[in-house]
Amino acid sequence: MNPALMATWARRGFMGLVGAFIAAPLVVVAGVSFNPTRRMSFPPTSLSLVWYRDFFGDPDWMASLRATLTISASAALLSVAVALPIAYAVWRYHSRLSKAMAGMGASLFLLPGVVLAVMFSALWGVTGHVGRIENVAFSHAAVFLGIPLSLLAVGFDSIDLGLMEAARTMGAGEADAFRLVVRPAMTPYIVCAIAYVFVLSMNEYLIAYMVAGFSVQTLPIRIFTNMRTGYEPTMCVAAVLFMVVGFCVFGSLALIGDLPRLMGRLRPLRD
Amino acid sequence: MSLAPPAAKPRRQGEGLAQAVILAGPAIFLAAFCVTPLVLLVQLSLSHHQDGGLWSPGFELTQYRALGEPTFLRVVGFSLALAASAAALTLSLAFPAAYFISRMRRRAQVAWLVFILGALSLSEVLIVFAFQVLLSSGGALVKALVDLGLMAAPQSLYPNLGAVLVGLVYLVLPYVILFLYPAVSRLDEEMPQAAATMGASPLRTFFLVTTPLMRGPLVSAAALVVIFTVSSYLTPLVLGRPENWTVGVHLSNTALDAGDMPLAAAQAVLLVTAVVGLLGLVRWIGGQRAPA
Amino acid sequence: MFGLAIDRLSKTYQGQPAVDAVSLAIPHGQFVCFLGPSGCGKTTLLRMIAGLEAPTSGSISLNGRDITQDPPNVRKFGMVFQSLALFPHLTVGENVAFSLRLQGRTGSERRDRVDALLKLVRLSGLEKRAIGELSGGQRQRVAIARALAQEPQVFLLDEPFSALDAKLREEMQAELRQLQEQLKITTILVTHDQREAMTLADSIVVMGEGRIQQHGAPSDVYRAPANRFVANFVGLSNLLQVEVLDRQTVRLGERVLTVTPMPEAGLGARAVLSIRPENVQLADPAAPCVDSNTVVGRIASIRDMGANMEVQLDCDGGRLLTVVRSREWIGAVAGEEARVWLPKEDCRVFGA
Repeated sequence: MNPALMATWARRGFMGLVGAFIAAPLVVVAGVSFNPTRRMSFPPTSLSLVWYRDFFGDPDWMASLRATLTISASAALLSVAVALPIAYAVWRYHSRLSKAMAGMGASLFLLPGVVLAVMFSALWGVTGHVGRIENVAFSHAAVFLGIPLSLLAVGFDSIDLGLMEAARTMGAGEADAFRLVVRPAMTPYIVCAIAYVFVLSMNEYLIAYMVAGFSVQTLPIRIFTNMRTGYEPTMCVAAVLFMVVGFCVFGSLALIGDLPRLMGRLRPLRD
Repeated sequence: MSLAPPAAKPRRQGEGLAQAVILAGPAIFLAAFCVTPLVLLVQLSLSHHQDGGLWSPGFELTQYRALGEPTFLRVVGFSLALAASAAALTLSLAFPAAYFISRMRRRAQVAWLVFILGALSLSEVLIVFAFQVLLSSGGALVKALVDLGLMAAPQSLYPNLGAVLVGLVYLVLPYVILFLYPAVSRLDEEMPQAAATMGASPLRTFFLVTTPLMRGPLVSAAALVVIFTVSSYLTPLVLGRPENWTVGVHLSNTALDAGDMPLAAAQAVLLVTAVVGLLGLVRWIGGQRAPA
Repeated sequence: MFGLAIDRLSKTYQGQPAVDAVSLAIPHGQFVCFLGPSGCGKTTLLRMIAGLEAPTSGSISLNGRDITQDPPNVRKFGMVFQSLALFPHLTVGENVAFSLRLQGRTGSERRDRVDALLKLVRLSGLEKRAIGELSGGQRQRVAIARALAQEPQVFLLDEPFSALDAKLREEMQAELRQLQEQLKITTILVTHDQREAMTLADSIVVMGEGRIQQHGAPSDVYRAPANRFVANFVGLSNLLQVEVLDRQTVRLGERVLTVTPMPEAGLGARAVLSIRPENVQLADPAAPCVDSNTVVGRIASIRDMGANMEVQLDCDGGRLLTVVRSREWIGAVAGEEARVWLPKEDCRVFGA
């Protein structure tokens, strides 16, 4: 076999293994959720939707689902709403203040999750505002702030400042230039940032547990309690739900926007 | 990044005001949810521990003295070694993967990115659960090993150190691939080609040219993995034995089970200090002979 | 054959041919330029020769041995890339010694060779410098020294000078030519700059639409373009619509002109007459007619270029450009009628 062909097959083999590794847990969880019996086994003995019926018919699971969606949606919107002005100020004014704020905002994302959990449980404990659903939303918004900050910075950097200047020489004011140049260029990045924080917040366990776990049961908390106290196949349905939401969100993002570019690829890509 | 210092740019009138208006909201948010919790953490670590998960304000170093206990130091050492192994394993998978993905055709790239983003969004809870099923004595992996004759009788592949390591690598792999993706996609394709025309095989090109060119992003990625894994909680808890528990598990146990928040806070301060030190080290390494 | 031989080499990208059945023989030690507009396939052809691109069909052989399946690291043809691709993590000396390190040469051998090469490209004493500290011309020289370090059988350059300013570019061209004559190494340079090709090459391969349009010595390519594409791309040409009468005569408007004999077949009634501006001779309208090959037109514009005058004439067949040396200028003005002489041996007819 010639060396070029060998290299191609080595590459494909490697990527196949990486793909299989990443896919394995997804396949297992999905498989178990279709199991007709109570036993936690894989591969499933036959296909059944019984646990799906149980899941959607159970008021406790539904309450968790609602709480989780509420938290992640508000955390995503809040986080992007805070990051957008900061990233804009960094790009537009290069000011020391805005850069310091961007660094501050991104720093939490770099701290270990356990530390963050202790920090926020102390914060809410001190204010005496404990066990509330909004605590989790605010904590998540702060913790994941680094994601919209870096994504939006990539977005702003991709805007040609010359374009802004051209718009202004043609008589566009600051507000017009923003509307005509900045908004269309930034929309995909904003959507991407919201999606990213939404999905991460939805899956976060430790902070949610430490901040309000005893009164607000988010889906990850309920799943984990389930796992510890005794296996119940409905939790796999919740897991499948997570995966479906994740893939749908990012899949549709790929349909509406240029995903490689959103992920930071600056060189144009050949089809 | 702009090279000009901010002061070099003449400030137009009204810009300061515009900035103040824009940044007022975010500044309040940052003060409340970034600065305050950090200050509280430090203050908490100096407070006096009372029974029942309570504490009273104070200024004492009891907690910091407790950090010097040999058992705790052993845990820290183990966590660092575990994190370093996870970083090495993850990078050896993520770097080639990110490189290959960035060289694929657009459709394949988009498919891989969606796949990885999907895996990234999977909760740690679900990941450890899936590995529990996968590695259990009744799981498909054990069955396959028995059928292949690699295992005499079905036995569970967890809890042990290997399972913890696999779980941790799985957890951070999507993050690291996505972190390296912009950097490898910026890599000039003519660099490895130039090496090839000078007689370097693909493997030697990878080690002599591609890897050194990516040194900055690789070091940062390694730091990211260490930060993520040194304090991991669920994975070592579920997939490991107590002796495989990280600083994160011990810290959570201090806070949740023992209810000693001041001690947990002190341990957290130590971790934060370590993170800051690590990031400083990374910046310093990155600053040495950075690629032009 | 001693040298590089390419046989019906093709490369197709998604059904589109980038290089289309190219056959070419380059004798050992020759300096060849691939000349053509962007997208003509010249870089793809060069990359296939280097082994960086796999041909869809056809073969490449060196000194009679088929090397089509050899990867680039086995062929080891030194190459200078358009981006230069100098390794920023290595110093000048380490860059030049890269191939020597791969060969496992000892430290002192490497040092001697690097010294000799840097002397050759006039960069002595700079081996400790970082790539980022060099000027454009110095980087160019490092890239050349690095590619030559392995003593390649074939030396390839992909538009190496396109990023340099005009003056530096000419300096580098002269140095490269000198170096090549000194080392007697088979060299292929890709360029879209016809001046560069004319001054450097022993022979020029003019490429267009993935095919070789003409292969010959620079003077032949210039004086006797093989087809309309070459006439138009290499140097300036006047292209006039004509009607073919027989092998040696065409009709331009009302005039019948004698031209260089054209090939027997292949040309229809409609064709294009090509003539270089400097071969179009402006005649004194008062002087008697010496040749029947003259055209009358009206002077549309005159540009004084210093050494030369450029005159645009409107004739029946279209617009005609002529270049006249200033000291031979007859002193006409725009709007006047003028007569030009088209020497028969300079008039070539190509298919429309």
